[in-house]
Amino acid sequence: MAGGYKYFEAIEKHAGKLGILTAIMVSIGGLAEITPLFVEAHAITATEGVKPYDPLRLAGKDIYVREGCYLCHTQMIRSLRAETQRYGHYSVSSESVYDRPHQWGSKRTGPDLARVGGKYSDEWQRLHLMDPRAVVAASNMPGYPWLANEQIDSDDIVARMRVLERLGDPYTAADFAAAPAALEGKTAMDALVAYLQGLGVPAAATEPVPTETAP
Amino acid sequence: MPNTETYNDQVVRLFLLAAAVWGVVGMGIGVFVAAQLAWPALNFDTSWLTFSRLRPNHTFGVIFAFGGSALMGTCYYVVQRTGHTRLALPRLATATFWGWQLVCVLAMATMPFGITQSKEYAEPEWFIDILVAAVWVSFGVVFFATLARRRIKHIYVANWYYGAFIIAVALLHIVNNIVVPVSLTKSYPVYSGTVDAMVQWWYGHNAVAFFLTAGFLGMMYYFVPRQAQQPLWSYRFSIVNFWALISVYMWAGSHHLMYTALPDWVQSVGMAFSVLLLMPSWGSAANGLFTFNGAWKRVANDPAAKFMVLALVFYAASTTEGSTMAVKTVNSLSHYTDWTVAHVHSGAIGWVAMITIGSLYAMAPRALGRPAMHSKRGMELHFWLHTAGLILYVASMWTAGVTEGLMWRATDATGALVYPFIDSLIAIKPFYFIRFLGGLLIVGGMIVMAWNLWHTAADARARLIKPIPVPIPEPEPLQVPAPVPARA
Amino acid sequence: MNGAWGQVAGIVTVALMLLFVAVWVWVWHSGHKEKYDRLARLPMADAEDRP
Repeated sequence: MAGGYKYFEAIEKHAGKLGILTAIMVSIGGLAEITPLFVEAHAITATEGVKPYDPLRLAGKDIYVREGCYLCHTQMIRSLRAETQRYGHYSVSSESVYDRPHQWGSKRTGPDLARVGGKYSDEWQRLHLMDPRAVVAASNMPGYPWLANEQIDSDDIVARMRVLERLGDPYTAADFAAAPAALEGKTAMDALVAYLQGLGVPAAATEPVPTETAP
Repeated sequence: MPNTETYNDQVVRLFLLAAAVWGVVGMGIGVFVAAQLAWPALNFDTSWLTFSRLRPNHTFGVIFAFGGSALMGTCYYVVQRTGHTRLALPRLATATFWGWQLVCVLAMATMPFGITQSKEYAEPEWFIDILVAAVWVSFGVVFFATLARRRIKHIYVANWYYGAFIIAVALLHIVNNIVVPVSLTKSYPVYSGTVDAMVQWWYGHNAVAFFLTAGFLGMMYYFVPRQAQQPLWSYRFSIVNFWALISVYMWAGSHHLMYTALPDWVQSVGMAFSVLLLMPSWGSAANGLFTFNGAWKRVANDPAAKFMVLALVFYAASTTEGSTMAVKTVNSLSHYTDWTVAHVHSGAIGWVAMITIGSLYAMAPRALGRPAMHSKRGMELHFWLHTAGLILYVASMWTAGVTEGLMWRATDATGALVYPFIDSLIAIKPFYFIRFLGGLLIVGGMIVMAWNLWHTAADARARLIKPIPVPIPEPEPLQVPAPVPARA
Repeated sequence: MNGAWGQVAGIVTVALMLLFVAVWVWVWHSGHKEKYDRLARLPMADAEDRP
């Protein structure tokens, strides 16, 4: 047994070998878990009704991402009874295929937003974003009044759609053609409200009401 | 033979200064955003002062600016001392300092203005990511080139951890940040939805594993024996723990995504490996604590050692908590609540900050050419401020988290939910205030440390420091062949 | 997860576990305690703390 020390010495006395072995050991776990997901990702197709974001909602989603909403709001209803009771059907993989980056979040200082679309009126959303405590007195959400003064630049959004198309999102020539008109005169606030009002809506229209939840 | 080789402590001093400054800045921002959760009007309706824009500045400032500077500085210090050699490639080493500071300043100056990838703990945009990669590779080159010219044949275990930290963080950073730029200030990740979530938490979890654990364990394995003035309790145990830690940690990332749309088997694998992780975590903590065996009287009188001991206790405690929270039934209650915040901060303020502060107090006098820190009472005060702040923080957030978890799932006899969401927020508001107080104490302690370091650095500022000679030729019992002679 | 991947993952896991146990057994029984004790003194072998 003692003779085996020379093999171990080969590691502990050679920085290169130590480095390579370390790299191998740290890689195994990640490869084992992520590779099958990549393979499966090709099999996951969007649920019926989940389409790439239209230009206004795309602009809104990017505002949501830019402002860091994911730091306090999740978009991931877990398969637990109390969650489906509060927020609706649990979230499924196919609903977030167009989210780059994903907006599942990790903390709920505010409620989950995966299916917030249509729960409140556009006007409520607008007021709430301008001054949250005007509509929910106990809220600790900051106001985002600057969004109302920020114009959406349609060239920028079209450039973003081009990149997303290259990444595989199925935008059509008609989508590109319609973008400037759809974004004409819109503010960041309009875009964000459009995005919020679309959250979970297509899926809710096609999926059955949940009856069974995970234990 | 005249010995003319000296340790390069110049770059170590620079990182020491940067760590002290970023510590105050990063934690100061933390206190400000904590105050905003208690008093939301504190964003003054200004975009770049808003919680959601500033929180990444707090996490980046503390983890990468403060932690990163401390790690790189101590790494350069330790690899020279344990190899009995001067740092290789001194210009590149200095460049890693300025490069890293540039990264930190750019990141902190862009994120509040909405220039962000919004990937948690990897927020800086693509052009900063490229700079990070360049600096990181240079850091690795300096480290491994220094190892290559060491005079002690055996590579001391602290360097194994530093090496794993450098290699793994490079891998994580690159894989997680593969994006397609739209413009200088906006990019889209190549991953989307579920795959992006898995890649993100593989990164996020292992940033904890290799940045916040392996790197700081490297610090621990050198500075704890130094401060205890006796060798590691069990060197063999540290080797076993090293291989266990680096091979098990990478598997556990999916415990951040329990009950989500991630496939079930990945969640279960993550849970199983999270429980396995207890072994190497407790192993390292025990190894560090037992190293103080027989030296407890000295510990009571040495604030740096006290920071280290408490750091190890919190390391053991927060890894235990982490593994517990990775069990699905516990996770169903704790996830998305402030319990997660409590856990993260018991690791960050307890383990990471305390082992760093202890190591900085141990290293600073040596690197700054002084017999001891300027003020021992200052160190004592820092220890008590930090400990009190830590306890206030963790206790309040843990209580808040459990309260939220229980209120969110509470149902009445008919099976209907009892509380609207807003009730849970109202219930925990007092705890947000207590957390703010805890944060104030911690930042107060950091300011005391910065003041103390400033005075300890008086000689360094006056350029009176004599470089420390590398001990060559030093008869080492294990050295075969004989030590390399000094370079002129 | 498809079946084949499960088999591979299972075998890799068991192999890693065995490797780990082997490292443990080997480190403890190789009769190098003395050597390790000297290695542990490396941080102490520094001129700075000597009078």
